[in-house]
Amino acid sequence: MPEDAKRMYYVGICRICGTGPLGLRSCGGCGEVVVLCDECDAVWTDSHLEESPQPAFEVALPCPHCDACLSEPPSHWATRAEIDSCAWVSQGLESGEFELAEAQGFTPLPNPLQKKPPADGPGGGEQR
Amino acid sequence: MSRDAKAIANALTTVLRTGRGKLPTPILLGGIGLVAVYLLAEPWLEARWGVDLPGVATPSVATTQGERPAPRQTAEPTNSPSTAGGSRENGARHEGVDAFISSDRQVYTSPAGLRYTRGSQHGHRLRHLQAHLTDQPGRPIHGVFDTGNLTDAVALVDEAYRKATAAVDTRTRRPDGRTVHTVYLRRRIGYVGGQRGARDGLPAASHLQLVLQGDRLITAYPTIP
Repeated sequence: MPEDAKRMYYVGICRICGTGPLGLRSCGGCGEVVVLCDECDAVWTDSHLEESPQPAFEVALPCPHCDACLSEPPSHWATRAEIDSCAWVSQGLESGEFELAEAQGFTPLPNPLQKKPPADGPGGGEQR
Repeated sequence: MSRDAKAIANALTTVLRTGRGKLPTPILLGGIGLVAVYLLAEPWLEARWGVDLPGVATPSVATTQGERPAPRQTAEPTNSPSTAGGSRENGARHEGVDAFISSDRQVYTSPAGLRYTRGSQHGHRLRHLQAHLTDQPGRPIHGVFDTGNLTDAVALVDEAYRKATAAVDTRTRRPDGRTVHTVYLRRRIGYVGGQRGARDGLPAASHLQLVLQGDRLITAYPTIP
């Protein structure tokens, strides 16, 4: 189940798709903060955004540190406290390598992939 | 002689006839030369900038750095025939979006051969596409389709994909294992919303950007290049 729209801190616009904000994502598995494009799912482990992002996988969006899923809870957009405690982010901000901006991630919508309930009773579920 | 070359030749002949006797010869020849250069460059300029310039030629190939576009995808019947909706392409039956939504299948293949798989924050790429049917003012930039219908949006994406694979009205980049097509659809298809769009008055968009990995759609949305 996708998480609710929350405040997202981002450090620029993705050079891969050209439009997605590069949000700071906190991994629900290991707690590491990575850079995740909110539009095309490109993932970087730190501020070296000129390097190639993590290869895109067919379905999953694994954390480059621990393979936990970055797109589903408990992974979430990093809070200000998590950002402040992340060494590479703090260094990047102090050095002026990037600036922190604030926006919203995608707002969850009713699931169009949910099966219609059968005529004789409730049923169906999210197609995951 | 090709149709475009004939059109250019006719245009230059018209200029020559119009100016003969009215303009000094050097000026007339210079003008014909400029017109010829413009008409010859027009297809490249249209494809490069994604706009429709006045002239006689039609836009053609536009790939960056001389890259050849991906070969046209052959439609494969990855989904079993549905009982509701669908279309035929290349002899294969493709189910409609509505039928897929009602099914248990996890991979939707569009009539043009694009695969929508599970993934993204939304759980499925179809749902991610659906997120571009309405504005999200809190996002920095957010392309929004004019149509509020997911099936129509999928059809638009297919139209853009067909153009991209045929290298028509398309600018293509291939950053780090992904393919990004920016396709000019020659009409308004949506607008740019989000924070930037609101600031700029929700400008109209005639281009559709596709981000792909192979034949798998990552995302697609209206954009202004």
